[in-house]
Amino acid sequence: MKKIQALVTKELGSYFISPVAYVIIFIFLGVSGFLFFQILSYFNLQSIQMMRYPGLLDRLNLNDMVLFPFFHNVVVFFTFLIPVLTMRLLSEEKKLGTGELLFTSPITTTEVVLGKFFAAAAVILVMLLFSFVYPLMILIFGNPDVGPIFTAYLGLFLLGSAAASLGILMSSLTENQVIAVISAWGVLIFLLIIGWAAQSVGPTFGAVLQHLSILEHFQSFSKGIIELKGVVFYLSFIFFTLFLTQRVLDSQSWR
Amino acid sequence: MGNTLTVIIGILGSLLALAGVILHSYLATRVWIGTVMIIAGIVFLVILAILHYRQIKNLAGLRQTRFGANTLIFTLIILAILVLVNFLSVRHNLRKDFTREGLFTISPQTIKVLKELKSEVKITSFFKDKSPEQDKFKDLMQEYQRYSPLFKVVEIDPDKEPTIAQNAGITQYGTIVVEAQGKSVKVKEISENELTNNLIKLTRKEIKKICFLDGHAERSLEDKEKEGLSQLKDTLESVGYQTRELNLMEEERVPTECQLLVIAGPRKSLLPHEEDMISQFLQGGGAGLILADPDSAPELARIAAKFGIELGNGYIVDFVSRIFGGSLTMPLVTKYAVHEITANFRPATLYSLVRPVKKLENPDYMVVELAQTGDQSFVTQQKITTAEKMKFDPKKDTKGPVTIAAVSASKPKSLPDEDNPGKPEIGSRLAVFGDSDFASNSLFNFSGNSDLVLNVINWLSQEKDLIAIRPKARAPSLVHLTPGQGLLIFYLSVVGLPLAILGFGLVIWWRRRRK
Repeated sequence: MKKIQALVTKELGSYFISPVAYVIIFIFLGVSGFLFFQILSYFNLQSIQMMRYPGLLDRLNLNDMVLFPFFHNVVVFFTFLIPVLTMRLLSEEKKLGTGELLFTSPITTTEVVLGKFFAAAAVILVMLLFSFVYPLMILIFGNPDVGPIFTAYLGLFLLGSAAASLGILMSSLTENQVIAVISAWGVLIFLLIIGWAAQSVGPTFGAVLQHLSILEHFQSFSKGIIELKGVVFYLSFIFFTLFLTQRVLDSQSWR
Repeated sequence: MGNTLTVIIGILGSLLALAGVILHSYLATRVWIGTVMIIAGIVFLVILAILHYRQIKNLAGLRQTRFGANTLIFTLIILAILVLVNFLSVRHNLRKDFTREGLFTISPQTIKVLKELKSEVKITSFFKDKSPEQDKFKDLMQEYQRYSPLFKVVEIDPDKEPTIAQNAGITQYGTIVVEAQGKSVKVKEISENELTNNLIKLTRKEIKKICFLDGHAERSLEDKEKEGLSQLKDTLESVGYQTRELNLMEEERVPTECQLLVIAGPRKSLLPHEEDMISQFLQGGGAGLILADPDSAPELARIAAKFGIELGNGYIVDFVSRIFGGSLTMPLVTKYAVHEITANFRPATLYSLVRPVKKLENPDYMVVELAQTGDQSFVTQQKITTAEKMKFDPKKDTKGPVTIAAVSASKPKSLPDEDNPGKPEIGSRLAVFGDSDFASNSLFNFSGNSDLVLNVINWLSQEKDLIAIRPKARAPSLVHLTPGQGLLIFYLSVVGLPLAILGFGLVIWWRRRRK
């Protein structure tokens, strides 16, 4: 555990000493902030117009009309940013040859993988914490339902962690960071689109594809529901990709 | 093979596929260009893989077969376990609803109905694909399906399969067909209330009939004005009862098809033989609901007295209801007895011109005083005047709380006795209210009134399942930003925060470079 802690600290250090994390968080906040502001000011306009029709006021809902669209627009962008964050993690070690050092040290490959993963998850957490400013502003100026905000954030964090674990797996496969990030995107796109195929294949296979579709489970989170199957899917996805990464790293000792 | 080419192909492929995905997810209909983009993107990525075949082969290659096989088997085992865990989690999915209003949680009554299903129920939905209604419906169905394996849902897209929709006689998007036990019903409003009550209607064996006494200037089922009961009638029919008006002059006795006899504020006297018929019907195991206003037919008090309920004289005066804009003679009830009817029942009910009701000692009946007015109310025999002049007179008036409704049920042990034929049989049930206005159109929709009437009728007719599920109302949740606040949000979210992060990063980077 101590070793993992040390690894996480070291990784976090390199995230925040280099401009990488800052640039990614900057891009994320810039885009999502703009989106948020757009949606909110449109809603504000609607609210003012609706004042003339008090009977229709209950149709306006901050959760349904601001936060839900906001999360839905941000989630894809967010997911695709994550592999950029993780592309460096293992491919760099490989390229610089520091991997040798790391893998021959008394630290096990499992610890290496977990350390890298937790560091990436921590950066994701920081990213999401900063973006919490937007719901916070709605909480200050309006009265949204807090439950769905928290479930949506939990969903974003799980989804982001899943993307991070996939990114780590891809970066363990190649020493080229660009290939790492692009192949992670490829897999993510694939995991996105198999959900659509679900409608055209049979109900059983369709349900399987739907379950594998990585964004599908976020739907419930964004509405305010936590579903066991969603949590289990993300956790098993993370577990499996990290397991594969560990196998890949291990294989370097015998290949 | 240059590295540049690899990068170009990779980026191009990914971007194409991404653009395709975005195009598809933001347009309601599938456009061919999006599909082409995705396919092209995938082709590019495949080319990339082929170009770097050797590299990939090296990465995935099994130079040490033994280790490789070992890893493969281990991986497959892990995969199998994960598949199993995921399968189980889907099968036994748990959902926890975190919305303030419980938007995605169905009521306990619906759950009970679902758990008691004995034969398959099939729901066929005809939604326009990807419409918000379809989404809402799917959420609802997920909840329903959790509680019964017999509850099946089939989704038909009427645009893709127009013949099925035509054969089912669907003329409108968003219609659903509920089928059970060879019967089917079309539902156009997607709500838990509609669905559950239709489910009950379809799966129930018999349809219960409620007879409303007619011929003595009672409140009429057909009357849509304030005085009438048309809303009560509509509600009863929507939850699956049949209603009819019953004129006893034409009958020898109360027809057996009447599961429940309602006497709603008759203003003219009942004939002696009518009174006998009603008493016999009730004592013979029937169920009755008497809504007796202070000026109602005097025979009602005699009938009620046989079941241990006294209909008193005078008016109930309540000062509390004035707060709600009601008059002195409109008592507000918030206290209910512990009884099946009022279990979990909290909302206030409002009445108008009410006479008191009291429990009498009767060895054959279990009598419960169901609802009481507040402490500030009293029963008066005085003439009702304005609020300022109306004072409690200790000589003539009785201090509140005053009971305004009581229910009576025959005790289970009182079996028919040959020596004493007047004794009731099992199952006699009577509810008496000192008012009939609360069930009329004027007050029916006030707070808990409609629910209370429905609960009483369900209890009387032994129909515990039928329910009124209130739609989950969302409280309006708005923002009103002043231009200043709008600017503040703009500078904070779009400009300030991202730039602060970037600036901080730059400072750190720059300081490290200087070292």
